[in-house]
Formats: sequence, structure tokens, C-alpha cells
Amino acid sequence: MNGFFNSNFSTLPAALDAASTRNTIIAQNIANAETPGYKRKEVDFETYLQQAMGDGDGLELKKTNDKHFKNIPQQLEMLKPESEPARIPELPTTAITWTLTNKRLCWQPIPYAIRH
Amino acid sequence: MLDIFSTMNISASGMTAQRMRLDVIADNIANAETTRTDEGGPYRRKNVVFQEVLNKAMGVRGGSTNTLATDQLGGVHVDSIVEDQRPFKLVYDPAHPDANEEGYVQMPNVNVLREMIDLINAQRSYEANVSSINATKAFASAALGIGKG
Repeated sequence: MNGFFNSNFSTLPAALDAASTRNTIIAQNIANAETPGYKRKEVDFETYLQQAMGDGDGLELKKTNDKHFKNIPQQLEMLKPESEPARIPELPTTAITWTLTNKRLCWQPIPYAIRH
Repeated sequence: MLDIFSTMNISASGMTAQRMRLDVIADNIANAETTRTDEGGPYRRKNVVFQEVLNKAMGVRGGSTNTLATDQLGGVHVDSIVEDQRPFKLVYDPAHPDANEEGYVQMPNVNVLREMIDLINAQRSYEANVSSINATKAFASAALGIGKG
């Protein structure tokens, strides 16, 4: 159905439901603030969003080649150096490699210099 | 999905539980110097034990085991009122009718100062639940305002 009551309009009540759910959980946490052994509950929208972005079909990037990134979180694993890090020979004293430490992509200097 | 009144019921259950705690604290303070009870011996301090209420009968909507559906949440209730098993205080008062041969009287194991702290704690918890109800009410009136004007 086109016009004002389109599919975007139906997402707004869903957002209200989500906020209401969060309100309910907080009410439960406050009511149980002094219950022994009670662990606080929380509505975890972010995890589900991450899951949907990570392995969902709806949010894939378009690709025209097999080597293109499909989606970011998993494809970053491809950048892990396998045996020897790739060098950039133009730099005379300190070479810099791409390494993936703690799942974060960063520049790291190699401790030795490359001779010409 | 819970309706707005079920959320208020959760907070109301918290208020009921805190009020029962208040009753127990009042009982402790009132009997802080009671040396005779029906069971014999001095008054024992009482304490409330809260327990979370989860409606297990409702359908589990969550995918994993640690995920709950919101309609399972039922607030809190007072599971039991337990007696403090710590020893009684011995007070030297030979003139007291309940004094033993050495002149010591067993007084209740109630520390009035501690009860006053618990009282403030119960009061603040009660107010927190009231704030939660007011927030829920604000949610409801904001939602009702959608159709207006």
C-alpha cells in the first residue's frame, strides 16, 4: 500500500513496542533490586542488530567478484597475515605491515630494516 | 508483548514487597526490648526474603535459554519471613523478672540502628518503584497523545 500508511509507518509502532519492552525490563530490575541472587536483565537490541548485520541476508554488500567483501565483520578475517607479513619495500628503514591484532586493523612496524 | 498495566503490576509487586518489609522492620523495632514471646524466650529479629516472579506457564518466545519473553516477567514477591538466628544480647539487670541466676537478661537480637537503616532502604526502594510507575504512566499518556490533535 502506497501513501502515508506504507511499510515505514508500521515500523513506528514496533519502535514503541521496543521502548515499552525496555521499560518493562527496567521495572522488573527495580522491583527485584533487593532480591538475593537476582541478575539484572536487559534488552539487547544491539546484539541482534550485530547478528543481523553479520550473517543476515538483507544487509549484504553488492559484489561483482568473488574476492569482493560481502560484509565487513567476517571478511576482515581475510586480512590476517598467514605466514609472513606483507612488506612495503619502498620504506628504507622501517617496514610496515598490515596485521590484525585484537580484531582491529592497524599498522605495525616490523622490528627489522629491509636492505636494498 | 506486555501491556502497559502489566508493567505497572511489576512495579506494584515491588511496592507490595517493600511494604511487607516495612511491616517486618516495624515489628522488629516495636519488639526491640521484648523478653517474652509465645515460643518462650526473647523476641527474635525477623527478616524478609524476596524472590523474583517468573511466569513459567507463558510461552517462551526467546531463541536461546537465557532469553526471556517479556510476558514472563512478574515482578517480585516476599518468599518467606525468616528469623535471625544470631545469639541474643545479654544485659545485666538483676531486678528484671526474666533475669537468670547470675542476673543477666536475654534481650532480643535486634539492633535498632540497623533497623533504621533498613527502614530508609525500604523507603527508597518503594520510591524507586513509584518512579517506575510514573515513567510507565508517562509512556502511556505520550502514546495516547498520538491520536490527539
